[in-house]
Amino acid sequence: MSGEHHDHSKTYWAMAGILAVVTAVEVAILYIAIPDSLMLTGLYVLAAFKFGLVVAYFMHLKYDNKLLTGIFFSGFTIALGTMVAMVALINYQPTKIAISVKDTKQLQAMTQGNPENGPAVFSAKGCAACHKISSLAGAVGAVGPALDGLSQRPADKLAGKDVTAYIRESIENPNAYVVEGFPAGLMPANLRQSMSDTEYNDLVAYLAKL
Amino acid sequence: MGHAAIAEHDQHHHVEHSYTGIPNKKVLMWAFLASDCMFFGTLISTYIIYHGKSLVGPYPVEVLSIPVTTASSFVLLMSSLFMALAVAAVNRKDIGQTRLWIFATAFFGLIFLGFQSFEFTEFFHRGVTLQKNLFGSTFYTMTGTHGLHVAIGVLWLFSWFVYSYFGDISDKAVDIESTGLYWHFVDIVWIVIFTVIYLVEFVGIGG
Repeated sequence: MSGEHHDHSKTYWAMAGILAVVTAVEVAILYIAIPDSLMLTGLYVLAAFKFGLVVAYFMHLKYDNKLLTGIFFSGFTIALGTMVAMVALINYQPTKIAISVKDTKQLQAMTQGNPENGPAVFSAKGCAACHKISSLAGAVGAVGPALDGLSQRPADKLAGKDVTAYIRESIENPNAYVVEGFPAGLMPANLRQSMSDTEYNDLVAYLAKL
Repeated sequence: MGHAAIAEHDQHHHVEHSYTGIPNKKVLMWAFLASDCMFFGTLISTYIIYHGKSLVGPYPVEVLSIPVTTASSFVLLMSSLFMALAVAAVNRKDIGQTRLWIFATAFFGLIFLGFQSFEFTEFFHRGVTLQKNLFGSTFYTMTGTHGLHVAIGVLWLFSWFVYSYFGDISDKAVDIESTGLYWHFVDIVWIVIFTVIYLVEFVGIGG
């Protein structure tokens, strides 16, 4: 029961001063150029400090029976533990596979390119130097086969594949099937590696529409 | 202070003590505050969990105001000082000071509610409603519950203020201390909300 009749008014004023200063520091921290992790740690530590000051002095726990501290912090610990568990587990996935499973629409979106961006990729990657496409300015090369009407070629010329698979094979592994009358080993084998997934899908989508 | 002393003490103050020597009303208030921790814990974690998951705006970073909230946080912190001074005064049996600081606490509580009304009105005009998105739902539920706590505290304090003119408030030290504990708790909840919801939102954005 010690302290019940002691007057702590001066202490309270001092604590209020500290609380006001700490609050100002909390806001000021936001404007200092320090790493985010350091900033977050600082903000949480200062909040905990303020929390502790109010509970210990204004709420008198520092002077009161420790049983009251026990009652309050048992509830507080359960609350904090529940919060941490909820926030930590809400996005938890049991395995990596569960995260990477995509539905049909997402898979299509991943592999379907935009044919309108194809010509730019075609020119940027130097394809135009060897392949002719009548509808594309600058695509006048004759070292490799012309690509006009690629999708219209008879099935036997596509080596039994659908046109998209055939185009992908010819870019990823140019020597797998070489059109009659053209030399093998001339087309660069690293074209696929030279472009992003999006560029590649756009290019294939464009060629498949020729 | 021994049991005999407590018994003698009680005859003057008409306060029921538990066998631990702590007034029952204080134990009750602390037990309630422990449970209220869990209540606010769920509301705050719900806000955190749904943070960044709103499909449509307005988003918190667009509407939250640090200057306004810093001012209202300061007001609430100072009200806590006044509350502590009121409890110190009632323990001194200084009725005038008790009355003054209780009024000051309640008045600052009203100012805080004024800030919150301003904030809610401002947010509403900018399209943040309870049904608009996850930010609106979780933000209003959490800060609204806190505001309700403040409003109950203000009413409780004003009722003590009125009581001080009709009854002997110097005899109500334990009761006023319990009201004070409730009031300080509302303050510490706001300390957490101010950091977790307002300040952290602006980390990484730069001045």
